[in-house]
Amino acid sequence: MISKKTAFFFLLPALVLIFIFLIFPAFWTLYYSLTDYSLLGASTEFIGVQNFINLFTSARFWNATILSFEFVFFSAIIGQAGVGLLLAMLFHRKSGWLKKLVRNLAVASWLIPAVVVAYAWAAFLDKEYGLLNQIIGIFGFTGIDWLNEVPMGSIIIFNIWRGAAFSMLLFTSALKTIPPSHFETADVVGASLWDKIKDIVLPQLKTFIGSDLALITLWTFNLFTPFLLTGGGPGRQTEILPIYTYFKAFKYMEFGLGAAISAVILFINLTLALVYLNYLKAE
Amino acid sequence: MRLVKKLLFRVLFYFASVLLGLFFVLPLLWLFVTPFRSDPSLAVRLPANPTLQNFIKVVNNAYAMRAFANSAIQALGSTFLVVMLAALAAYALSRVDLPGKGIIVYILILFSSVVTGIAAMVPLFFLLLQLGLIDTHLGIVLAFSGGFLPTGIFLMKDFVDSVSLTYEESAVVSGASKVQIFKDIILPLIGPGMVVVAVFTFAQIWSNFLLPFILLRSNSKMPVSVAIYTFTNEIGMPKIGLISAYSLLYVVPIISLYIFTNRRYGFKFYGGIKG
Amino acid sequence: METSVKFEDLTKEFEDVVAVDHLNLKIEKGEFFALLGPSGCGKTTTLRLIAGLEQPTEGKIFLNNEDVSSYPPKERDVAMVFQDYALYPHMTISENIGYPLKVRGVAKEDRQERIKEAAENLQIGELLDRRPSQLSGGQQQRVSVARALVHEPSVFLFDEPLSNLDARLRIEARTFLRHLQKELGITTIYVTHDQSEALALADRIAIMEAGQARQVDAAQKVYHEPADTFVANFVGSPPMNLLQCRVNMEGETPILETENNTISFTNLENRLQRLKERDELILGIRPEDMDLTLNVDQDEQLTGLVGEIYAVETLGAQVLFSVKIGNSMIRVREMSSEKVSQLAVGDDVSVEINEDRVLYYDAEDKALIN
Ligand SMILES: Nc1ncnc2c1ncn2[C@@H]1O[C@H](COP(=O)(O)OP(=O)(O)OP(=O)(O)O)[C@@H](O)[C@H]1O
Ligand SMILES: [Mg+2]
Repeated sequence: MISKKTAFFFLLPALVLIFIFLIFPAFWTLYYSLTDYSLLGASTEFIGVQNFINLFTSARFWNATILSFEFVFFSAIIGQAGVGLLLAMLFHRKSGWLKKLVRNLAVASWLIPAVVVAYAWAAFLDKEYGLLNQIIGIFGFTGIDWLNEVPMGSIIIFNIWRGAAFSMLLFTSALKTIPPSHFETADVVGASLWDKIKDIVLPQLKTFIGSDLALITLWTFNLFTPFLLTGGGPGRQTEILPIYTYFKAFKYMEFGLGAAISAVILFINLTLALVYLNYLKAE
Repeated sequence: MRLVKKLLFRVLFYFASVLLGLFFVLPLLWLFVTPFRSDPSLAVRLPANPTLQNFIKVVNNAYAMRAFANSAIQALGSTFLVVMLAALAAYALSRVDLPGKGIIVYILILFSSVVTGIAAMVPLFFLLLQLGLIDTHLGIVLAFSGGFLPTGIFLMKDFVDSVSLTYEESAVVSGASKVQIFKDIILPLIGPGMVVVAVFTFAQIWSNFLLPFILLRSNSKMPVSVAIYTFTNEIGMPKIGLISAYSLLYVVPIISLYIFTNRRYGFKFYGGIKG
Repeated sequence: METSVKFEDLTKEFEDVVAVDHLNLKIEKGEFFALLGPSGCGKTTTLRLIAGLEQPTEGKIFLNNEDVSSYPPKERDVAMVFQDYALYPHMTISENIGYPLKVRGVAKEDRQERIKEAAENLQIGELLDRRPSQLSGGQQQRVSVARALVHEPSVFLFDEPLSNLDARLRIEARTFLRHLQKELGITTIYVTHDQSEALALADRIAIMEAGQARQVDAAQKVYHEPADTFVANFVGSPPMNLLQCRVNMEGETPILETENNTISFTNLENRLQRLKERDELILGIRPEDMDLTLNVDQDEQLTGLVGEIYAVETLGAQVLFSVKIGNSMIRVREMSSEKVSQLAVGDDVSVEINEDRVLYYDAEDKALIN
């Protein structure tokens, strides 16, 4: 209906915006990461890979990196994917109010703005008044100051709660692609639940699980929300890479170093995104 | 034996469902009861004397209301821009055989997942600084649009692809002009797709904390996400009643949109698309 | 106002395919003309060229001797019914039918009247307030025809409009279309790959292959005298039997040798000379122009075609026999009768050919020998 020329003009505004505000900043990050740009220094000089050398010899950077990997592994790969798969399988080919209720609650946890859930969790985990310690109290245990005594564990559980819905939704639609006859056949030969998971679900969901893991890893890796719960503390116990970047760039105003961390994150993101797109193609 | 096994599975099913239900609902309870309490605290207590006092406090707080308006301006502005530009671009990509369009879509999706707010916050800050757009609504709107357009285009293209070209061709043969075809045929047919993209974009921008936190400076421009966060420190003590009521109000548009899309289209699930 | 349609060397090339290849055709005023051919032969493309949805690479299109090749669709005043009907899902049936009038700026009252008239013409008057999704396939098809005729176009274009209907509805709709077209007298070009549809509907048919017209003739003629073996093979169900044979002259009598039989025809009259000139030719024989006889006596050396029955299919009042002769299969159609009911799979039969109805094709250019 439209000519190639018109099509070009239809595309142009979107591409211009995307270029300026998405693609260009990525390359600019790379450029900044090679300078000593900061608000303190008067002039900006090109210093090569000095930022990266500083970074890779900094204990604080390695602390952040290790925390980030822990956070991703336990909260996303084990937690969100596991709980998501459990939810999807639990309710597969079931109906009723219980399914609806639990699924909607999970989706609500996923949709409610981060700032709000951060407040809700801060209240939930509060040492003196928090609901969690109250419940523990009923069973005769003494509550603890979760965010201070097990900060990493707290943000991991928080992030499982926060993001399980995505994996649940993805696996739910994935399970629907398995013909019911496969389960029925398994029932006929008397396969156990574990057999069904091992022999039917996992092999047939391989690409879905791959996509899911790549995506939630990517997102969790870039998640800033824990900052709202712990601010990276106590000490540096929850200072994952995104929080570390924020501190370096916007608290200490070391933009060059901040950009170098961003560049590292960009590189890791690129790897994960390529893995994901590979799965997309395979589907 | 079979009966016992079946019964066991049933019990297990209910046990697991209830446990998971509790896991998801317990942390949220506080949010839904505290705003109605006359003695708000961090504890979860059913309001003894339910009150709307906390909401009245929010409405009377100029800063809080200003933040609501800011959130609306920023989220609606970006959503409008994303939906319009994504629809135009998607139409072009779907209907015209452009050289290398597969590559374009691929690159867009790649960059939109790689360049996250975290990875781009330093250059985005300086970009807006250079453009004189730091601490402006326009700066926020443009930064969000750039970030959400690729996904918007991707969703929209899927949608346009699903609308048969013969509707347009039939209108052409009927003698309709380009404007008539756009108004009478294309817009109504891809409208639902635009609504989906709009809901999706709006919900995420409305909730976003990081970009305004970094790109805005003055209190008068902050959206709710940042404004709520600063309430804690205002007088050293968190105003629990105010914060909880404000949070609940802030959540209402998101929950309503969810219910709306769920009713209207069924909560369509787009694998791999968020943020 | 009646309109004729003419193509001069009409050609349309896509990147690597020639969809329409130097097509020359003239369609008369008020004619019901069918484009018939296998999938991918360029029928739809031809139609889209007439409508102005595609621009020809070469050649011209005339409506009433006016060159419209460069006109936009709007100025050609044609109407098209698409295979998927393309009824706008967001409009009521009434709005759908009225759309061509609306874009032409016809006043609302006038429009309502003409919508009603068109709808009544197609017997869908009571459906006007519904949406397309609430109609059956047959009803949707009628709505799309109503939308096409509402503004009284000069030419109707149909692209396989019946292919989405079930067999019974298709025959009903076919009769109705034929009736309607004759009543309105609007020049109609109808695309189909279903030869029975083309034969039933059209005054004349163009058989297309690879973007070219292989034969353009009246429906009867196309059926009885296919111009080449492609047409012969395409038209008729089951298609004509084609037998390759060598020509041996025994004096003045040509003996036709097939794979493992010989046939001699007595009644060749004026074709004799032309047969003599050839070493090889192809015989075309319609299934109904043959008869089967059971070979009772195994020893007797029969002349003509001899073979074994491979399959028997009952088609209502007729029975279709597939007879294996050497490595080839021929099909014979018989009226059901007592004699026929005695024939069974595995029987040895001889095939008698109704000599007068045999067609002769050149072995090389596959064209009909007159
Ligand atoms: N837009 C296009 N781009 C490239 N090739 C095309 C295009 N449209 C048609 N073709 C090619 O042109 C040839 C003729 O196509 P056309 O659609 O006219 O066939 P048809 O006779 O209508 O077949 P069918 O019975 O399957 O509808 C085909 O080889 C087709 O692949
Ligand atoms: Mg076709």
